[in-house]
Amino acid sequence: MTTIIRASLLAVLASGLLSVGCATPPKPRELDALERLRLDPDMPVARKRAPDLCKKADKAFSAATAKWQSNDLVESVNNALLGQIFFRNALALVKQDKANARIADAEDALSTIGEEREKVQKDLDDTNEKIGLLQKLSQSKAEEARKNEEMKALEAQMEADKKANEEKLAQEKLRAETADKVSEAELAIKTAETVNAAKYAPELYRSAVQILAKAQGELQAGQMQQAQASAAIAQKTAADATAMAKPSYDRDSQAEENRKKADGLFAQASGIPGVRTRRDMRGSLQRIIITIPADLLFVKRQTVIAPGKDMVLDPVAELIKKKEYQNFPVQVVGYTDTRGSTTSNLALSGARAQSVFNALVTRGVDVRRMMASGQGGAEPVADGRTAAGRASNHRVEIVFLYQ
Amino acid sequence: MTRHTTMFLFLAVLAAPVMARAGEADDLQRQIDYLKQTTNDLERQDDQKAVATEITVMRSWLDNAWNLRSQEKYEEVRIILDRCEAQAHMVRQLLIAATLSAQADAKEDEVKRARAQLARTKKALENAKVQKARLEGKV
Repeated sequence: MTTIIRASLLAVLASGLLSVGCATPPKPRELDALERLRLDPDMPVARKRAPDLCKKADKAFSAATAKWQSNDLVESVNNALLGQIFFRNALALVKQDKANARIADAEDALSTIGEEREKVQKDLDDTNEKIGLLQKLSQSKAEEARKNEEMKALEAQMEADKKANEEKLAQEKLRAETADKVSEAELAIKTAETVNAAKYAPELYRSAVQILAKAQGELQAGQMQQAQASAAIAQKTAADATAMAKPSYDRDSQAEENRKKADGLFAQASGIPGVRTRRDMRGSLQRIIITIPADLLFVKRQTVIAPGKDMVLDPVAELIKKKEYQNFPVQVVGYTDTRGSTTSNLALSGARAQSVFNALVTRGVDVRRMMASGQGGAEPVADGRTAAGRASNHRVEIVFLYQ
Repeated sequence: MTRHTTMFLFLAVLAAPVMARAGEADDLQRQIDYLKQTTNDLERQDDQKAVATEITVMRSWLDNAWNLRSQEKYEEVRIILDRCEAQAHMVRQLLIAATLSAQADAKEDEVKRARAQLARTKKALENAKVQKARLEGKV
């Protein structure tokens, strides 16, 4: 038993000594690194991609391992480093391939994306173009609607303006008509004033003026209907005033005219030599009397105008025939003194008047304007008790009558 | 063969290994210089600093190789230079991968922007359609 134990102990000791003598040194870290490289996930790919390099690396790995196991660490490290280089070289090629693949994928993706983007961009451009057209269309419609609104507003404005103008025109027309009426009333009053209605028809005239003033006030106040009515009344009243005043006015006017004519006639008559001229009034009649002494025409108590003594009648006849005195009636009146009988005096004065009458007719005086009469010894002009007075009372008077 | 010729051959035989080693040292130096220049070129290309660590490691390897060459451990130098060659090749591939990754990132950003732009365009289209429908209803 002891022999067996001793033998066993010797065997263990021997094996221990053997194992210490043949002990493998620690694995170089380069070899560790190489082993890790061999386990790289990309290694299968690397082996396919670069089989020669991997074969060299494997060979270097085997050599490194062997050298390590044979305690030749320097050679082991050299081989391990070489193996690493070969493996890393192979892995670099794989990395290159991967990078190339990534580049290719990226380029494919870029191409695809580019195509898609081109398509999407085209769709976007088309859509934007349509949007642009739609916006223009929308703007156009909005513009059209705006213009339509403006047109409607303009038409409404024009219609309103037209209406306003028509109303204004109607008002203007009414105002013009009213103004015409008022003017007519004013004219009627002016007409009334031409016949001096203020004097000859004062109440009517004042009434017309007052009504006209009222019409003018109403016209100013825009009360056209009232103004027209007032103007019509004023016009009518003024016309009435005119109608009322006109006869008096005409009469006075004629009288005034006759007075002026008579003044002229008197002045001219006063210029005839040998005669006397005077004026008087009898009733409403005015008279201009040219007195021709009997001895200027007759010899003694004769009734025929003595030859050569009728020259005094020439200027008298010319005066009577003057146009401006055509409307003056003329009386040829003979007078005597109061001696003798009235009958004989009337006969003598009448005959003498008739002789002068005839002489005037002979000189062209219109017979229709004259009348002859004898007044005998009536209306003496001088004292009949003296010879000179009696001679003065023998006379023929040419009497112009007017109002 | 003359005595001089014999002497020459004897000396040549003696000098051959020395000359061979001197040529190997020069050759390794040229390789180290070339790889240093390559390291500088790679560093200039690495504007993203994606392989800065690898380039640093490679420089340290080259420095080590230079020291070993000085110690005339040419075999070890050659092993290191082979590794540096492989490292330089790997760095080029990593630079290419980094550049491509950056391009991929840029492209993917571009895709994101394009998608966002597309989404905005689609939204604008939806809005436009709504506006169009409203206008059609109005007109």
